[in-house]
Amino acid sequence: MPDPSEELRQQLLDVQTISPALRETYQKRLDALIHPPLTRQSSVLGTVLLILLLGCSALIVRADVLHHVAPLMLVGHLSLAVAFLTASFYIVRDLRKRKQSRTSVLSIAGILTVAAGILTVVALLLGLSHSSDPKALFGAFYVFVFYFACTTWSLDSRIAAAELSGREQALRIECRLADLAERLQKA
Amino acid sequence: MTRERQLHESELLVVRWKRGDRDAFEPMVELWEKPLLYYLRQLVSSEADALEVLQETWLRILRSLHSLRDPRALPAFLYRTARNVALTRLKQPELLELDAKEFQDLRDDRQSDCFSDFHNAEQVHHALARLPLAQREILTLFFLKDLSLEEMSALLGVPVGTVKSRLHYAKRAIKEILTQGENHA
Repeated sequence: MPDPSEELRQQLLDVQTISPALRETYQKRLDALIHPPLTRQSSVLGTVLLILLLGCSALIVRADVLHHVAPLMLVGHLSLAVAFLTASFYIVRDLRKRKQSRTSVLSIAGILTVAAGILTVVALLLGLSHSSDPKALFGAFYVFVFYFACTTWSLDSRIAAAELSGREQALRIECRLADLAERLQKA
Repeated sequence: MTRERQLHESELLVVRWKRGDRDAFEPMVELWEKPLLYYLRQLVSSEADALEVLQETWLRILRSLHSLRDPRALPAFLYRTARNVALTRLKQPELLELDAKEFQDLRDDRQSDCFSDFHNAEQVHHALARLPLAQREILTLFFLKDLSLEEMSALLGVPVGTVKSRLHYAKRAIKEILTQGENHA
């Protein structure tokens, strides 16, 4: 048997009317809010960032070609160049679509973090291989502290994400159960 | 959609938003747009103002949704934001100040959730418009059923007992209006 309070609620909501012209204006503004177009400020910032990233990638490659670089350092340099180029790709994609996408921001953050991780490992290995040099050891120590902080932060985020993911799954199941209960009630 | 289903869906959408899924906002708007607009329409004088306040409400929600700790508290969060926007933008002092004397004798009044007296939604809708603002607000919240008495009390910034007594008076007033309408008919 339908709940009279639910019925009244639904009927009251249905009684409410909005003039089509106002509705259209509201909908347009709401769409702009939910799917924000790229602002002029964001476009300029994106372009500057793109130039910087491409410039840095070119400088890294140039340095590796012109100067002799240790293989370990070459790995670090290349991973950084690849991260910069990937970030540039996401920026170009957003600039072309004229939309700021959250997935792009997350991807850029992710790839830069991976590159920073690789560089950290490289710096640590280089520091350890020159253990007689106090300067290298100190460098390795500081980099290790930085890496430890990053790992802690990353683990925290992952745990929070896993908790939310578990909750999401549980809620999906509850929604399905509520759906089934609603259908059974109607039948 | 039943109330239980709506609450689960809302909670799910908040969790999705917190996980970085921006696509969760649009269904959230679809789910809550009608009741919020109905509530705001009772607070502000025109349809255009209500839509403007609603739009501002969504903007604030979009900016502050990440700060919502308990996803189950979304309905209260939405109504509170909508009310605050309505208060600041449209300066409705009547919402903040009520004549305490009017309600002082009804602290222990028992609340009945009986909806059988309100069977004609259209009549109820028109009768709501004839009530004073404070009574209209509390009764709208009661009919929409999205908030518990405790949540209503937090929203309005008054004790639960006051919410109950306001509801009592508001129901009595709307019943009188409905009866007058039937007699005229």
